[in-house]
Amino acid sequence: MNERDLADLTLATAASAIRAGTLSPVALTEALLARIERLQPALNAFITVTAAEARAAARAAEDGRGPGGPLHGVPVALKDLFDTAGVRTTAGAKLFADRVPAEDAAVVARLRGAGAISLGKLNMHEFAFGVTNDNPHYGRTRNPWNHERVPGGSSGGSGAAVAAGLCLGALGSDTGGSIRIPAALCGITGLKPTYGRVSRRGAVPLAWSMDHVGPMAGDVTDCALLLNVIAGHDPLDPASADQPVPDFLAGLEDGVRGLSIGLPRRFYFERLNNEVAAAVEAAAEVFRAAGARLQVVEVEDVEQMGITGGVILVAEAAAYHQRSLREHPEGYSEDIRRRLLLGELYPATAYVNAQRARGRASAVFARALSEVDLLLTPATPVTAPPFSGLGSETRDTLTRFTMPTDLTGLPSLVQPCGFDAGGLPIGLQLIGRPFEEALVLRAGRVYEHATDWRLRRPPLAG
Amino acid sequence: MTAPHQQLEPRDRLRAHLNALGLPADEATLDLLLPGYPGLLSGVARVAMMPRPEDEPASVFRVAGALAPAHFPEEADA
Repeated sequence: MNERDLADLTLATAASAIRAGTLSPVALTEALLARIERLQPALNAFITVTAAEARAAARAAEDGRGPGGPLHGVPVALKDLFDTAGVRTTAGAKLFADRVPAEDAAVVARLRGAGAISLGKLNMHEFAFGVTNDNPHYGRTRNPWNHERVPGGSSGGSGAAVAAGLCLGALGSDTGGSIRIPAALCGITGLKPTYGRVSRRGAVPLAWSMDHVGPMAGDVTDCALLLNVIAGHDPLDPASADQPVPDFLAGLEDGVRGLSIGLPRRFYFERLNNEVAAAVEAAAEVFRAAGARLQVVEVEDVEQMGITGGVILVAEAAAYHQRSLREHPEGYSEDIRRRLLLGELYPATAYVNAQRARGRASAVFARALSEVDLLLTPATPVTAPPFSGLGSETRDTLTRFTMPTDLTGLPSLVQPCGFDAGGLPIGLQLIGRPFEEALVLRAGRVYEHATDWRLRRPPLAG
Repeated sequence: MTAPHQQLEPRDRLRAHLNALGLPADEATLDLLLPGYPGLLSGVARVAMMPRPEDEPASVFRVAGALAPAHFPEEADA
């Protein structure tokens, strides 16, 4: 196989081939490192490439050493807010430019324990506090589909790296949409699991009560495989849920016949690009053809959830950064400094009332999801915007359909469902009940089985 | 009746707000924060008007921690 063929492998296929002895972890790692070396100058998807460490791990995997496990010898990459022992973890911030953790984050330890090889640390929006990945300290990450467009964020390096075939899977985090927005804008698959499903221990926080960790990969099966590895109770993460963890690969091919899928037409199908709307409408028909029943549902007051989530997110971020912002204001970009200082001006009553409104938001979604099994929505109202002309309204637009399930913690999958006339990817979003990631993934698998959007490759990625 | 500080121009109101919290209110800080300040005030006002459970003070602390309906049956039934 040549370099392109190796980069096109799914994570599951590569893992299986390595297990069967038909694929060399060294050859696969070298191919991806060569792609990174060639494409990094244009895409800037990585902040730190750990080539020597990856080569050593690949050699060990090839020699049959290492932990073994479902990801034995498979190269992945990590958003640079997950602590890595001995490797700097910047969170995309100047303030953390020299921060070298002593221990791996819980999810990094789980990936290593499953045999995965880390290729390095992926670029991100500064402190995960934004959705464009226009990072003033480490440079902007560019969208592989069009270098003048944003990749989305804050896990934009993860989205760009997976889309460009620089790694077979990646980890992201999602507080206002930071897994799902780059997944949609880069044309890959990303899952924000239920709040508490995946440990956040060792991940630099943005907003404690809204931070989620999840997989980003080329397809649904790969997300399920990664979730199998990273999900599970962690008593050292106060938000971790002690819930049974199913095998997310089991039942993945069981289809959607007999399931009901809700279309929340009000809000989610309003004020959006026509091509996005048409692509998601067409996706709904794919689900209908596969045997699902479509039903229009109402998610009451969902238009207020962006404000509610915004107050909680900014207030918690301001609390986390308060001391270091006082001591090292020069360590923050002007935009982040502005937003964090403004966060200190929220009255305590606004935060508490937002948390009270949040309880109602959860009840509203629970009501909608008592009528149907899943909700289908667009992931973002628009495709990737250009770097020129970005503003605060960009953030409001891109998070409009993702913020509600960060607020309510519901599992939400984004996958590609088309392209606009400019060749930019469009994403759909499937939302499920708490801890029903398996059902969300199962439906997503139906969609990708019936379509081939995920197989398209960015022309600029080589 | 409008409180006196609410009659101020946004820049003066921001300065008063920062002073009340003991935060720096120099001109550079005002320049930095002023573009986002009206949005903050609007957000605070909107959150204050939002529907929310009035009889569930405990739900204040029900941040998303445990979401399974079985954990909070009364909210799931709401």
